[in-house]
Amino acid sequence: MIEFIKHKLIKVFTRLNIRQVILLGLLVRFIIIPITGHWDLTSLNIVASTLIKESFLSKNIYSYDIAIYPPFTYWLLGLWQIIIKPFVEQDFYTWLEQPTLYSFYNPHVFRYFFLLKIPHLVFDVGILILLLRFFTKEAEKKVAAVFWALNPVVLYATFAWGAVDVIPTFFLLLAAYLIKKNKAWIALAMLGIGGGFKLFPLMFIVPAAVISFKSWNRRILGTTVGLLPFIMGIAYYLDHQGFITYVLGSDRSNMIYHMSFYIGFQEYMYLFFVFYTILLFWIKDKDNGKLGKFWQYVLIILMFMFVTSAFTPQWAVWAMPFLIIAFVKNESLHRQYSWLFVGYILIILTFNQHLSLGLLSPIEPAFLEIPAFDALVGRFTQEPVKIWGLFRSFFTGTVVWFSYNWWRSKHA
Amino acid sequence: MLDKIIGIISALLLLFSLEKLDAFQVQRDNMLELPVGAEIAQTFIAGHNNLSMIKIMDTFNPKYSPLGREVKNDLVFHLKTYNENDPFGGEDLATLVVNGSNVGNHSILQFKFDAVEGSANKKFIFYIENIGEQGLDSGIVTSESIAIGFAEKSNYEAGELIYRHPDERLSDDRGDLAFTSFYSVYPHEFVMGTVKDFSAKFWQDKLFLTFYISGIIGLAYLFRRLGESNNDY
Repeated sequence: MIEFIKHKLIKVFTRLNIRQVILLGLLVRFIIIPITGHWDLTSLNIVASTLIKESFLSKNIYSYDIAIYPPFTYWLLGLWQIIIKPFVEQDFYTWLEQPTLYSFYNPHVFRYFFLLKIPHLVFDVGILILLLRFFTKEAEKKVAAVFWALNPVVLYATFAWGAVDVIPTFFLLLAAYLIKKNKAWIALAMLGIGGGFKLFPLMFIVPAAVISFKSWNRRILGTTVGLLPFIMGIAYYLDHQGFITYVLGSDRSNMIYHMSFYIGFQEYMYLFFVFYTILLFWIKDKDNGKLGKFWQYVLIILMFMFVTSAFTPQWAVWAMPFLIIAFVKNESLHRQYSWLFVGYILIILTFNQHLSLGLLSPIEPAFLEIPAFDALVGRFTQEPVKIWGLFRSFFTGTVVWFSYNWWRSKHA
Repeated sequence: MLDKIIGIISALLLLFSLEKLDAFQVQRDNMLELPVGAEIAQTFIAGHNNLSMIKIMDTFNPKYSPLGREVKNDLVFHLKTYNENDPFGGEDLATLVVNGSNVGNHSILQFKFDAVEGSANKKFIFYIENIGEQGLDSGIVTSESIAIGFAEKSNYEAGELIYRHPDERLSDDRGDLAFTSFYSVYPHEFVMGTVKDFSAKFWQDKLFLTFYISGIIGLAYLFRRLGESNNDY
């Protein structure tokens, strides 16, 4: 079945040139963007609107308990709200702040969701352009373009849901590309800028410094250069309790601490950091200076993060460009991708209808009422979390199996 | 063959129904307590036939707060036709009971009942009463009432919130309860209604519609032109 679908798709896409693939991707996005929506996007913009209503220096963005991202996200969205001002009606800010049900009934709901998702599109196209630069053969470029332009995970998380993860993902991929091109200093700064949107690119600053430089002095300086844009961005907010609580102390930021062993005296050993440390030594001793391999380490770290934390579906976007590079470069892995995708679908099923059919609420708010898989499971068992745990375990299995096959394909 | 498939699908679709949103008011800025003997009511006008579900959009359960106690009383939900002279004295359409311990915190309380035929454009009242005994079995004085979210300012013009308490007279207008009401439809009606509502909503924003349709046509045209020129990247 998979082979049949694969051959059919290959037949269709071999007829298209890359520019057509990109246009097809744009067309699909154009269709999806206005008719789908989630309050995550409106919440982000409510916070960002504080910068417009008060001033760009207002610290009150972190008075909202929904402000869980570092400031660059809100600055960008605030700036975007200024740009789109001529294209919105007077009810725009009322619409943003309305309870979700009212916002879905607003006559301008399609226009507003369309406008609010345009920044995502800019970074999405940026990722596509960068992705193509990882390949030299035209055929490989085309496969990469198809898998990004029509990627169901990207379409779902970025354009239906409206998650901003595509922005820091762009900076992460840009850093990987710059390191490949031996421009480590700029790459490190890009990771710091990415961390100003969402914290995860910061994880890659130390591995980037270790792979790029030989001396410890330079590695420490490189790490400082990487952290500098982030620290400069957040310094202004460090005395705000909301920033400390909602950004640095949020559940999401601390999720990687959850898979741990108790080792006594109230102390824990965190599996992610054990693995991370070993990987740093591995990079230092085995692959120092092999700059073209950095993207592989990004993927390995993300894979380990996915199996050690109850990640939310939009996090998959972080790994997607790197999975596509691995996909194009290793034909033997194609079957493993199908299983990864099945595992990912199971993860989505663990969330409520707001993240599945409910995303179509701008079309018909009643989609929020159609019980999703989580509600159906809840009717048959007292402990649905056990089912979700099984799904997570299956996904972990697919990631481990993928990683093993990837390793084998490289050492065959 | 196609007729048979359509027939089977139609028969399957008639086996179950879906809920579509009808009247609602979801703003909430305060909570109203429901002690023993009190009743919290909301009047509303159904927009469609087959009224089948009411949701109370925000509840507070004291058992989730630090000094809160578990509410073990039953809460009784009533749906009645609205009687101008005696708001609570209309025809009883549905009575459902939920135990207070099952009410969540900042969650939705859902009451589903047999669809009320011919409900369109008629006024109804639903109310919740707290039945049982009041009492404190410890020295700590804490709230032991479920509370329900409401908007202090009246947002819903077709109805009003009514608070009836044993120690208080029928209150004046206190805004509106945060509620949603639903009517049931068969899946084919749901699909048809969705298409109709969606197109009507899209037409409302003509400026965006013009831009959107032109954009799609433009991209499709470019896609075709690029295929003809067949110049690769």
